[in-house]
Amino acid sequence: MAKYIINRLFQTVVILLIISVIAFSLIHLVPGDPVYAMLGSEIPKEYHDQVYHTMGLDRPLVEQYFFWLGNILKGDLGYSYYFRQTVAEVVMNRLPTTLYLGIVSAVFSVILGIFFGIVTAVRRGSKTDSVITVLANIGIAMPTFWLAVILILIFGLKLKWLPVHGFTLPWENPVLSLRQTIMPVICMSVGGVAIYARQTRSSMLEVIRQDYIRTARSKGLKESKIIYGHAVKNALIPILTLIGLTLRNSFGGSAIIETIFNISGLGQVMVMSLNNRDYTTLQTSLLLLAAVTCICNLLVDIAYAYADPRIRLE
Amino acid sequence: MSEHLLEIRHLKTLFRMREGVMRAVDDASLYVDEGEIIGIVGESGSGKSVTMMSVLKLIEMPPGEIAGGEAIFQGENILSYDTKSSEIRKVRGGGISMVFQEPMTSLNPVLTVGQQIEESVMLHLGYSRARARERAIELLRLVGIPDGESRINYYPTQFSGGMRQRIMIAMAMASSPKILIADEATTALDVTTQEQILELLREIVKKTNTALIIITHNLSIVARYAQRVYVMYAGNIVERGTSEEIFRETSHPYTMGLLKAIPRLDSDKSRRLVAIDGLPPNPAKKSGRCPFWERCPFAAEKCSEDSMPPYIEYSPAHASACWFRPEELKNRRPDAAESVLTKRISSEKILELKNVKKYFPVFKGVTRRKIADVKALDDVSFEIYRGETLGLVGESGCGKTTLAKTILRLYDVTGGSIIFNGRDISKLPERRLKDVRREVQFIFQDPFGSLDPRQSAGSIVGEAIKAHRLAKTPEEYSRKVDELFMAVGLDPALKNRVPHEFSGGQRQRLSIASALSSEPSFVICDEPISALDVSIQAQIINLLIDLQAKRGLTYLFIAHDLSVVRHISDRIVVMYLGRVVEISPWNELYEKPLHPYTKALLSAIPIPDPIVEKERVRTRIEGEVPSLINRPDGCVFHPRCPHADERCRRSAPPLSDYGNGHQAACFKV
Amino acid sequence: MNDKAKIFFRTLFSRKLVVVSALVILFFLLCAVASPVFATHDPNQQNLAEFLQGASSRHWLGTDQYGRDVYSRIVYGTRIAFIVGIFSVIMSGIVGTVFGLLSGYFGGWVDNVIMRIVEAMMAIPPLILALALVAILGRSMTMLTVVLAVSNIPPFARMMRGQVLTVRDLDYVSASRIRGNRSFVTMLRHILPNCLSPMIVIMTQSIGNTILAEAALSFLGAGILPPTASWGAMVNDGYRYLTTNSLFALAPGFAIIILVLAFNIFGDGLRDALDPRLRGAL
Repeated sequence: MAKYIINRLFQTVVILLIISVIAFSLIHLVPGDPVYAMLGSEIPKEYHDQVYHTMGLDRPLVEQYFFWLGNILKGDLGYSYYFRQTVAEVVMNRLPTTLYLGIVSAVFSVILGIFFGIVTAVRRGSKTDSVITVLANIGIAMPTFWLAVILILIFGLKLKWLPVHGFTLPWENPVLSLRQTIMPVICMSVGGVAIYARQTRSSMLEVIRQDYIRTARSKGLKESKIIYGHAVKNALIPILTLIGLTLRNSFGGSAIIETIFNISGLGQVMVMSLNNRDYTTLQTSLLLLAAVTCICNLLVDIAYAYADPRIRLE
Repeated sequence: MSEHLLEIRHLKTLFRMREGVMRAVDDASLYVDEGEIIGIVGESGSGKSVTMMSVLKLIEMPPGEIAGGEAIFQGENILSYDTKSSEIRKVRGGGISMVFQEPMTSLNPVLTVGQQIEESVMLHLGYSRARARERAIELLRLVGIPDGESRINYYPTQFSGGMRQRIMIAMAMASSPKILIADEATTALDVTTQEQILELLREIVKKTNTALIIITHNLSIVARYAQRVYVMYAGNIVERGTSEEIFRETSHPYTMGLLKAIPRLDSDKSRRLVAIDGLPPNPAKKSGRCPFWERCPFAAEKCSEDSMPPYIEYSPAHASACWFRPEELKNRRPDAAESVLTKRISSEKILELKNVKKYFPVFKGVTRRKIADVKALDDVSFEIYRGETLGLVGESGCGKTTLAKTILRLYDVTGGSIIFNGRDISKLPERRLKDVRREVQFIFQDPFGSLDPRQSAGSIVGEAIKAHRLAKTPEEYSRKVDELFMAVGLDPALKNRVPHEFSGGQRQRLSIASALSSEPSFVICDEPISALDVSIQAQIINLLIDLQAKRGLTYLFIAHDLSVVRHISDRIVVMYLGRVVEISPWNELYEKPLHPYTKALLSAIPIPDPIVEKERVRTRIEGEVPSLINRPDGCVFHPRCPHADERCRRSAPPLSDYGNGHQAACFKV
Repeated sequence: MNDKAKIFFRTLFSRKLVVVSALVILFFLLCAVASPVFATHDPNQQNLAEFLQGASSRHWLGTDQYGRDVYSRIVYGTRIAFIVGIFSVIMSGIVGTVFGLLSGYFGGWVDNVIMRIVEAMMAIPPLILALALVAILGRSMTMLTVVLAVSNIPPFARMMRGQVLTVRDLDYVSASRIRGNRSFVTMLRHILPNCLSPMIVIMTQSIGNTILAEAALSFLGAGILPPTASWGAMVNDGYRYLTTNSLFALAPGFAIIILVLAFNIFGDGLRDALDPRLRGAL
C-alpha cells in the first residue's frame, strides 16, 4: 500500500511537470510576437521590449521554461495586462467560487447518480428502469448551455423565482447563495448524474453475474442483503475512478456556466482572457485547474486502493 | 412423502434462448439418503449442475424455467416454493449447501472470510455476532485452517486456491446442513490439493452425518468416493447404480464409452483408447429419442424411434436407459479392434537440456530496483530422443509451461544450454531462430485462446507455410492446407469458417494442423486435452499418436494428469517447483516410483474402479504447493515430505541414476 | 456476407431503438448533404424587415436578429456538426490507435512516455484545452476539427493500449511468433485487428460528445466564424432574445440533443453487437 502511494505520488509529479510544459508551450504557439499579440501592435517599442524582458521571452527556450516554472513555484504567477492585476490576485480571488461550484455539483452527481444506478440495476427491465435510462441518455446528450438557457427562461424570466446571474458564497449570505447556486449546480451536475447512473448500473449488472453473488444466493441470504451487503461494495469500487473525471469536467463546464450566469470564477476568467488575448492568465489558470484535477486523481487512487483489499494488501 | 432425505422426481428444466428451447434437464429422477455420498457424472452441458441448481431455484429465471417434476426434501416439495420466498431461502444454505468450482471467484473479495462465514451462521442458526464468530473459528479448525482467531480477519485474496475452497466448505457447513453439494469443487485445484479437499469432505460428512452430492466430470473421483452414481448425458440420467455396478457391470453404451475413452494408471499401455465419435446433441434441437443414439456404436433401428428407452432395472439400485441389455450389446458388435502402434525411437538426441535456468526478476519501489529472482526453472537437465514421446508432469508452479516457452525461445534463457539437433539455440537472437521455429512447434492448451478469432481456419493453418515460404505457387499452398485439414480429420471445405464456428475438439484439431504446417520434427504439446470433454479427449490423444507414427514426430507432452501422460509417453519427467525430481521409463513409474513426490502424485490420482481403489495403499502429503517466491531451501519438496530430515533442509539432492534410465533426486531412495 | 457479419447485423438491429437511431443519423446526414433541398430559405440571406419573428407558415421556426430563417440555418448547421464531429473523431481515432498500439506493444519507456503525456492531457478539462487552442491558433473549420481531435486522443490511446495489453498476452499472439512470423507481422495481422472493435465503439460514442463540444465552443464564440450557421452559435445568439422568439434559442438545442442521442444509442447498439459479453449490460 505504502509502495503504491509513493509510486502514484511520483507519477503525479511527472504528470504535473508535463502539464506545466503544455501550459508553457501555449504562449509559444501564438503566431507572431506574443507581446504584440497580447497588447496590440500599436504599443510603443520601449514598452514592448520591457514587457518582453519581464516575461523572460528574450532568454533561450529551456531557460525560459525554468524561469517561468521557478517563478510559479515562488508564487509569482506573472502580471495580467488585461485585468491590470497580478495573475495571483486574479486567480486566487476567483478560485474558491469555481471550486465551490465544482465540488458541490460533483457531490450532487455522485450521490444522485449512484442512487439511480442502483435502483435501475435492481429493478432491471421495469418501468422505473426504462424511464431513468431514457432520462440519463438525454442528460448525456443535452448541451449544458442549452439547459441553462431553458432554466433561465422558465425559472428566471417567466416565473421569476430565481436570480439569473451572480454568485455569493454561502458563508456570506446563505439564502441568496442558495438561490443563486440552484440553477448553475443543476446545469453542471446533470451530465454527471447521468454518467454515474449509467456506469453504476452496468457495474452492478456486471457484479451480479459474479460467482460470489451466486455463493451469497446459495447461502439463502435475502435479496436485499445480497444487493446491499455483497454487490454494492464491489460495484462502487470502479465508480470511484470516475470522480476525478467528473471534477475535471465540472471545471471545464464552469467556463460555460460562469459565462452564462455571470459568475466571477476561474472559468469566466479563462473565457475573458481568451477573448482578450491575456495569455499569461490563461496559462496560469489552465495549470491551476489541471493541478487541482491531478491532486484529486491522486486522492481518488489512494481511496481506490484502500477500498479494494486486493490492492491494499499487496 | 418420501422415505429419502431428498428425492427428485421427473425434474425438467428448460432454458428459453434466442436459438430455441434448450432442454437442459429432461426428466431426471434421483435421491439421496442421510449420510450418503453420491456422485453425478457427466460432461459439460449434460445437465448435472443444472439439476441441483434447479432444486435450489438458483438458475436464472428467465431464461430458465422449471417445467415439471418435484423435489421432496424433508417431506416438502421445495420446487413449489417461490424463488424469492423465505421457505426456499431457509433450504438454501440451511438444509442444502453448495460448494462451487472456482475458489478464486466464489468468495466476495471485499469482505473478510469471517464476515462471510458468520453471515451464514447468524442467518440460519440465529446466533449473535459474538457467538457466530466463535462458531466461525471452530469451523475454520474443522476444515483444517489453524490459527482461526487471526485468519478470520483475512480477505479471500490472502489465501491460496486450496485454502479458499476450505473456506467455502466451512461456509457451507456453517448451518449444519443435511446435504452438501460439491459442484466440480476440486476441478480447478492441483492434483494433490484435490485429494486433500475430497478427503476433507469425506471426513466432515462422516462426522456430521451429512449427505454429500459430488457433481463432477471426473469418473475416477466418483469411483473413489461415491457409494452410488448417476451418469448424465444431454439432460438425461442414462445410468444409475452403486459404484461397483456402474464400473464393473456397466450397462449403458455411453458409460461404457466413457470408461474406454479414459486412460487408467493401472491399465496396459498397448490398449488404444476408444474414442466416442461425434459431439453431444445440440440441446436446443433435442428430440424425444435416446440422446446418445447418433454416437452410439451399438445403435439399432429401434434407437431412432421417437421415444426414450425405458430404464431396464438390473438391481434395486442399478438401471440403464437403453433398449438393450449389456449381453445383447456384446452380441451386436464386438469391441473395435485395437491397433498396435509402431513407432521408431532412435538413439539420436533431438533435444538436450543442460542445466537450464529461467529466472524472472522481481522489482521493487519507484526506481524498479531488482530485489530477487523467481526461479521458475532451476538446473533442468534431460534429453529427448528422436521419435519418442517424453511426458512432463507436475502441478501448478512446477515450471512446465515456462520450460516449454523457454525451449521455444519465447523467453530468454537465464543459464544453461538448449541443444537442438546438435546446435545450442539458447543464445541465438530472434532473427537466427527462423529454422528452429520451423522445426519446433507448439500445441496450446486452450483451443479457444490459441486461434485468432479474426482469421479464417484456412489462413490459420497456412500461416506457417507462408511465413517459411514452403509453397511456391498458390495452388501448392492450397493443396498443402487441404492435406493438413485431412490429416487432422477435418473437412477442407471448412477452410473459410472462423474459429468460433468450430467445437472445442475441432479447434484443437485446427491447432494441431497449424502446428504441423511447417513440417516440424519436434512438437511440444502443452496440456492439449485438459480443456476438452472426456469423450473428446480420447479422439485427440488417438490423433496425436497416429500423427506421430505417420510423420515420425517427437513429442514433449506436458500435462498435470499422470494417467494421460503415462498412456502416451515412452519416458516421463516429474517436476516440482522448477526442478526435475524424477525421470522414469513409463512402465516403471507406476510400479516402482522412487521420489516421495511422485508417490504422492500417483496416489492422489484415483483409478476409475471402486474395487481397485479400495485395495490401493496411498501415500498422502500435507500442505499445498508453495508459491515460487517462497521457494524452500535445500530439497524443494522437504516441507511436505514425510521423510525429510536435516540434510534435506540444507542441501538439494542431485538426480542420481537407479538403472534402466530411471533417475530420482532424493537422498532417501 | 459471412455468418459472422450476418449475426452482427441481426444483433445490431434487433433492438428497435438502434434502428430508429440509425434512421435519425441517416436523415441528418441527408440534411447535411442535400441542405438546399431541405431548407426553405437561403441561410445567410438577411432580411431586416422580418427580424425576430415567431413561428409562421413562412418561417417555420421564426427568424433571427437579422431576419434569417432559423429552420434553414438549422438545416445548414447539420453540415458543421457532421464535418467537425466525424472528421475530428476519425483523426483522433487514427492517432490514438497508433499511440495506443505502440505503447501497449512495446511497453517499457515508450509506454511510460506516451502514457504520462496522455495522463497529463487528461487532467486538463477538454473544453478549456480546446478553447485555449482555438484562441491561439485561430478560428477556422480545419483548426476546430484538429483542436477537437486533440482532446479526444488521450482517451482513445488509453483504450487502445488496454486492448493491446489484453490481446498481447493471448495464446494466438505467441502462436504467431512460434509459427515463424516477424513481430511486425504479428502486430499488424493479429493484434491490431483484434483491438479494433472496441475502438470503433468508442469512436461512435465520441461523435456525439464531439458535436456537443463543437456546440459549446461555438456558444462561447470560439467556433466557426459567422455567418456560417452553427447550432451552438445560434443558441448563443438566440439566448439574448429569449423573450422575443424563444424558438430561436431552443430549436437548435433540440437538433443537438436528437443527433447526439442518436449517435450515443447507435454506439451502444454497436457495442452490444460487437461484444456479446456486454450484451444488455447498459
